[in-house]
Amino acid sequence: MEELLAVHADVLYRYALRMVRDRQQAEDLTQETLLRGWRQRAKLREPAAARVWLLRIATNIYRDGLRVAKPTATLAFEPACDCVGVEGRLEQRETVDAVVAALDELPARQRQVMHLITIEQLSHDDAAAVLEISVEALKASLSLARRTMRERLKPIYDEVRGARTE
Amino acid sequence: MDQTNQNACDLLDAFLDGELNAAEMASFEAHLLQCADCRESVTQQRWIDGALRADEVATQTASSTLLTVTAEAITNVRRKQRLRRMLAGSLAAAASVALLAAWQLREPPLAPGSAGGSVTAPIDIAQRNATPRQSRGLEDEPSASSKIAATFTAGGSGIAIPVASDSPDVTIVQFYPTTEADRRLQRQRELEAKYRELIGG
Repeated sequence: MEELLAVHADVLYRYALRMVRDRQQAEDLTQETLLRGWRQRAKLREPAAARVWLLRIATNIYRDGLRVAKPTATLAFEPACDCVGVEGRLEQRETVDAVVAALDELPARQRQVMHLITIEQLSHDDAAAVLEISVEALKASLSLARRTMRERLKPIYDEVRGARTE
Repeated sequence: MDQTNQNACDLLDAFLDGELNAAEMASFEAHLLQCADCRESVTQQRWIDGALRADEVATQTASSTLLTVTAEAITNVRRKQRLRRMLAGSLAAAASVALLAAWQLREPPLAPGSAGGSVTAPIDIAQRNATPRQSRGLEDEPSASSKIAATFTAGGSGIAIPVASDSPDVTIVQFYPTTEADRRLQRQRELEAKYRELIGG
C-alpha cells in the first residue's frame, strides 16, 4: 500500500498545489491525503482506481477545511534548465507563468476541473468521480473555465503570436 | 451568426476533447473553415493546454522529504494501533480473570467427600416414583438413612443423597450441585469401592 501511495504522491501534490496555491500547505494536504488513504486502505478494492480514489480524498479534505486564503503572490515555477538566457526558453517560461496565473485565478471548481482534465488528463468520468459531480456539470465547468482563460490570456496570446509571425 | 453556425460552435469543447464521432468531426472541420472565431478559439485553447502540460507544470514533484515524513507518520500510526491492540488484549485477559474469579466465588459449595469446598444447606428434592436410573439403589431401604446416605447417586448437575422418609412411596433426597470435576471424582471413588468389594478388601 505504501508503494501505491508513493506512486501517486506527485499527482496529489500537483492537485493540492492547484487547490491551495501554496507549496507548504500543498505538502500538508498531500500528506494528510496519503495518511487518510493508508488508514482507509481497506476501502480500496481495485488498485487501478487508486489515483481517482486518492484525488477524491484530497478533494474532500480540501473541501472540509484545509481551504486556505488566496496567496498574495502567484506561484512561480522553477525552470526545467538553467538556460534562462535563451530567448525561446524565457518566452516559454513567461507563457507558462501567465497561463498558470490565469488558471489560478479561476474559481475553485473550474480550477480543479481544468487541472484534472488538462494537466492530469483524466477522463471526464474519472474527473467527475473525483469531484463527485455529474459529467454534465463537469463539462459545463470545463467549458466555462476554458472560455474564461481564453479571454484573459487573449492579449498575451496575440503578443506571442505576433512575435512569432514577425 | 445564424442558428446553424451557433450549434456548430457549441461543439467546440467536444471537438477539443475528441468526443465527436466521424460524421460530427467532418462537419465541425467544415465549420472551422468558415468560422474564424472557432478557428481562433481552437488555436488559442491548444496553446493554453500546451502551456499547462509543459514540464514545469505537469511534472512538478513534491519535495523529497514529503514521502519520508509521511512514512514516519504511517509508522507512528502503526505503532499506536499495535499498542492499542495490545492494551485491548490485556484488558480482555484481565476481564476474563476477573470474571473467572467472580464465577468461582459464586460457585455453589461442593458435596461432602467431593474435591474441596465446604458444605452449606443442601437443596431438598422429593423424588416421587423415582426411576431406577435416577435413584439406583435408593428405594431398597428408604428408612435407613445412615445406610442410604452412604450410597451416592450422581445426577445431571449434582449429587442426591437420600434422607429418611416416612412414606415408602416417596424418597426424599438432599441435592448438592456439583461440577464436572466433582462427578468424575465421585465416579472414581465408586469404582474404587466396587474394586475393594470384589477383592474382599
